Amino acid sequence: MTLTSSTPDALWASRSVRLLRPAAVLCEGISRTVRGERLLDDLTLVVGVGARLLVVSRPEESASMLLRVLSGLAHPTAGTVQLAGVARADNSPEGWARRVGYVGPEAGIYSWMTPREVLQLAGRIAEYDAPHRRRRINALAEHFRFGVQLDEPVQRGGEPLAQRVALAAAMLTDPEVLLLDEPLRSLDPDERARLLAIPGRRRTVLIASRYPASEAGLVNQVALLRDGRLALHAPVKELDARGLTLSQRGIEALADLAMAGGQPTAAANG
Amino acid sequence: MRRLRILTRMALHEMWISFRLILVIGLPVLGGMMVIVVPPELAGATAVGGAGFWYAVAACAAICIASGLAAGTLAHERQRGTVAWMAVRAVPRSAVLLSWFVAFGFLLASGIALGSIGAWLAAIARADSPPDLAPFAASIGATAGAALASVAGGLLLGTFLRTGPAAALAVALSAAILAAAIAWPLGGVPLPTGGIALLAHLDAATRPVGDGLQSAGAALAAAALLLVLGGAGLERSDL
Repeated sequence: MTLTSSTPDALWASRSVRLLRPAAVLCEGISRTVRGERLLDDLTLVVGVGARLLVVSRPEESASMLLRVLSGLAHPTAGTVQLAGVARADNSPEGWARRVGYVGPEAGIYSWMTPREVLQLAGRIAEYDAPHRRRRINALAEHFRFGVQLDEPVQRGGEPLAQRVALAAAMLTDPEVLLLDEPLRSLDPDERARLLAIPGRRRTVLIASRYPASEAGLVNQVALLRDGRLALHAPVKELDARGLTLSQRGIEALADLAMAGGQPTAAANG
Repeated sequence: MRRLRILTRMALHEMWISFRLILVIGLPVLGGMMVIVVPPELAGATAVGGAGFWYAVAACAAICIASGLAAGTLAHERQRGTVAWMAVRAVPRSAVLLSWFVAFGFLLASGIALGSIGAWLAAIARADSPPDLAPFAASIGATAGAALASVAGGLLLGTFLRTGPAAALAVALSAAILAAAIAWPLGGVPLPTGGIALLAHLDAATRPVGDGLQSAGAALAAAALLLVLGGAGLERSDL
């Protein structure tokens, strides 16, 4: 049995179940080449339930590609992916649609729609009933602070509102795994940090970022992809322990140290 | 089915906001109304034949533009991430494609049907005796079928090309194929573009109703095939 964040609470209460270190993201042997450049090369990554993982990469496109492959938007040439206990995107609203959320650099919503219409659409696609949709929309509007703009076209609020609405739409289904690719770049740093402090002890969040320093305080694990391969997967406290900062340079230095110690990936699960 | 209904409503709303809805439905209607202003010396041997020819020309122009719009729309939806927004919510990509087909197809077929009323009224106004409606109606039905196939072809191009090239290629291909159908009608051969040929050469048609039905069937089969290819292409592409 694969233990995921979908595993019932009663089972989670058991210490022995927790000791099994359930994984929310399992990807094995993922490869992907774009225009001759190998962005992912036989990549295997296991992310435990509840982790907040920062993914950085060299070349920079690899991290973004990994999240797109995980979300099902891009196809790997080889390998398997399992998110929240689901092997691949199914069409049932109870499965992938509610368990996995993805927000890319582009909001991907029609700018003439109001935030309420966007969230209603996301709720209808997930097949929530009207009272549940209403409750969730009100809660999200409050949390993401667009209550006063709830019935105005998104274009009036510009890109910052569009990005907040896109994240709110992803959170509407209370997903177990949330994939964030360079999210909320249009927001000021404090507001961005507040919104990206995603609640939920069993929610697993992966953030692909080109600016690791901006994710300080939001993540507890870091992964580095070098030439498409996993060069490092370690807790953020490893950086602190070695006096390194959460920056591209610091993460690269930790990866070099781990390599020199003959341990290319430090265990970060559990 | 429920998701398709939601997506189709979205597609229609997007077309309304961007004025594409007016263009797709309005062009064939305008074309039908323009038939009445064709000078009598260019109106053909019979009133129905002349109205059919000029309406076929107008419908061809509308179909080409609609095909280009369909191609550009799907390519743009892919590029700006709205298809991805749906796909990460486990909406089948083929459902997104189908919703745009239904939206474009419904509007264009409605426009052709409404425009044909104008062309028919022009024919009645010029005819000495009441003309037979059945051949004209059959050719209009087959033309609507050809329009659906053309929209499906445009959407297929939109699944793998960027907005500009997709739209331009869809217009160019549709124009070439439909112009060929008018210039070289192959009577008796049930081609997807047979409706256009039939409408443009109604005077020469020996069994217009039968040919019209056959052409409509061929056009619907072509549309289905193009949609299947488009769905497969969209499924395999990165969003």
